[in-house]
Amino acid sequence: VTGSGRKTVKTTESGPLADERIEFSGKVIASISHELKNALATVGESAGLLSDLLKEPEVDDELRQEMRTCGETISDELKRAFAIIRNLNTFAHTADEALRETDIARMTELIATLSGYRSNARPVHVEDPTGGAAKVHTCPLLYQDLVYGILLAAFRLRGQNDPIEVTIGSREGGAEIRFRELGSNRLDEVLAEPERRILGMLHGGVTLDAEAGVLEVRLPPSIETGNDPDAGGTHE
Amino acid sequence: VRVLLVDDEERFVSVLTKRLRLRGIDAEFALSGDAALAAARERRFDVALLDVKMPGMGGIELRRRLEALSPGMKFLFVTGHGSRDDYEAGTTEGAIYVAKPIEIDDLIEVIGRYGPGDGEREEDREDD
Repeated sequence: VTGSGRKTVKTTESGPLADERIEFSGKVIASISHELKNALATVGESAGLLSDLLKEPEVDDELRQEMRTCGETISDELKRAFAIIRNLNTFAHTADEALRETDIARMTELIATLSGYRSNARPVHVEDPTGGAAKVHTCPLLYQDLVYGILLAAFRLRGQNDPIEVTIGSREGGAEIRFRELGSNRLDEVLAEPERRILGMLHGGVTLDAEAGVLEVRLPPSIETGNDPDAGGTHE
Repeated sequence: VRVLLVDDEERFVSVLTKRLRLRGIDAEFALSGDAALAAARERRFDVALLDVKMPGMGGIELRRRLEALSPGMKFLFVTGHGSRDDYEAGTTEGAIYVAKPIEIDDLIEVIGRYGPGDGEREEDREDD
């Protein structure tokens, strides 16, 4: 058992929390802009190809099909771009309140999608057998930062494209988030120092079942009043 | 000029390849570093247009491997990031950096500057 260097999250915007939020937001927004640029670049090239094809002197069936494909690609990539903008909007509103009632499954799904932008779309599957019941009063942005860090570390450790499975649970009013197949059985690798520090700010706990390859992160019902039921922070 | 485009954004790279072909450039695309290396073993390319960030092998590492496989090949880097790090990585050792969105005429002008390489081609290899 090791301590996790707990710090209290306050609603004031100063000190380590503010620094953490700014750094994390910057990383995520950069990855979103990259993804958006890719979608729009494809729209631009497809429109360019359509324009090229329209200059052809004769239009046969093959050319007509090519033009149709261009139109479909433009439509699909615009949908993709709007989905990215929706995620950007949702992410931006995460910072509206430092602390709030947080739907852990929805927040985990969002950050899984955002981590895919950063890591070239490695898949993360989020399962929520609680049906949305895992809700805790916490700092959503710090929670996102924590999950983002865990997933990016896993992508680095695994070096492959097999999906990471995340399962949401609920216990005694708190939330449990289990990550499978993270690519290492060492706690210092799957939960590096920055993520441990964030977990401490969230008053959460963690257990690594090395044999099963499962990392369980726990959050208390309220960051302001409660601690992780298995108080003590980090277990291995 | 034979051009190899490498990008994990399949729609983007396939459409760009078609646009180059319509302009008389012999272009092929690959969706990963490994696929690019396989293509370069089959055919000789004069120019490679590489995405800087791809899953697995990124453009910078791929350049090293392609250079070892095909001495004389020229490189352009393309990225959606447009960051200083990418720019510095892409412009090292004389490579040219191209940011998305790509202007097709500008790209063709840059490719034209390189021209065909002077190394042996695939047909020559097969005759050996």
